[in-house]
Amino acid sequence: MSGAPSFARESMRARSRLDEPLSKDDLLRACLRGEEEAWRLFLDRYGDLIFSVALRTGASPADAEEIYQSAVLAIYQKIGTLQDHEKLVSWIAGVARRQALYYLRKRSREAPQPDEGLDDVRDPAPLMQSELESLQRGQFLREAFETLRAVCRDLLASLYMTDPIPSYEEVSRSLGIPIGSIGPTRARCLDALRRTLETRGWEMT
Amino acid sequence: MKNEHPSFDDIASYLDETVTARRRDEIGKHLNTCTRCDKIATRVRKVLQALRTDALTPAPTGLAEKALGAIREQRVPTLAERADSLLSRIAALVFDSNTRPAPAGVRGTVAPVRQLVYEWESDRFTIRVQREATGGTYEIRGQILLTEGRVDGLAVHLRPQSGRGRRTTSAITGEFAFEGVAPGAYSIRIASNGGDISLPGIELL
Repeated sequence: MSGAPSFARESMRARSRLDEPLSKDDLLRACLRGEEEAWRLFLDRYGDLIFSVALRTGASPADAEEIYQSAVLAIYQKIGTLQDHEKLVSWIAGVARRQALYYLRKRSREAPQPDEGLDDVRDPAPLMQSELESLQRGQFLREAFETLRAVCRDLLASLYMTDPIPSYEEVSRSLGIPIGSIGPTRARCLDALRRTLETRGWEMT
Repeated sequence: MKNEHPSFDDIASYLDETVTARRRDEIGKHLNTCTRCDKIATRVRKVLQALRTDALTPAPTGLAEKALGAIREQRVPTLAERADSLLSRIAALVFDSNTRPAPAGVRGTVAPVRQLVYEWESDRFTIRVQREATGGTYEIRGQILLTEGRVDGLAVHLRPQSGRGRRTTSAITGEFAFEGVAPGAYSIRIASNGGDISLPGIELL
């Protein structure tokens, strides 16, 4: 299939009320049918990936928001060209990166250039393998994170994904967890995350 | 310390470096001699590393909805849609109140309200166009009357000959409305059960 799907009637409404998350194939099929709810779920699942690619390509947070918009449009228009659904994450990352490079190059032409001739827009090239693997791990982690209880998501995000890392006192205050419980709760949450990752095929060794 | 296996919490604390130096030494020595615990530590270390270095940056709230809105306004019709619109899914105008002759002896005037009725196979679509009291704009009201399938929740697009269109959703009665429509030539596209149907030739003069 090629071309952009039309926004047809929302037959996803019934499905979206179910607790089971849609499989990647079902989600893509619904997106190709142009179902708006499917696209909302798509962005919920892969929006952070798109935004992160923009940031890691060198965009500021404000520019990354603009790149996000153009990347989503490009993905919408080209989703029918994706042959292998298993390569969805690397495909999304590739589209987002090209949009980011194009945007940043356009910005650098519009802005007055310093005499030093600094150019922070890299030449277009496929994503480096290490970058792609990191993004894939990030997406994998994100999807596993979504299966955790809210307290685990909040606690692990506070302890490991915040800069600067807060003290246990700060975590206790913001999340309402007694200081003495943070360690054991963290352990249970890490274990739950580890088990989810292993179940989903994350290679631990 | 007896050669006890450290708890998962202990291992997580060891990797987090939130244990005392003495306890850290004890656990470190144990991990050097215990394959089972060392394997657990390796797995947890990988999770922690991923959380710290690979986690995606969340896209700001509202970005997804904005992107969905942009898609709705700028959607590019597929070749199939264009073919449909050209060949098979243009509803026929079966009634136009503007073309009804004036009664004999009465000078004809342009009626303040224009009514159009379209048919596609056994489905019927009524359109009512009325000039608004101020601003030189028009109100377009319509109703979708299908012989099969639901009439509510259908996407209805008001498409000008050039420029941005507008979109609304049909109510439970199949009714829809656009207010404040500028003069010009429009078509209306309805995403009905069997596919998009176009109601052409809606001229607001």
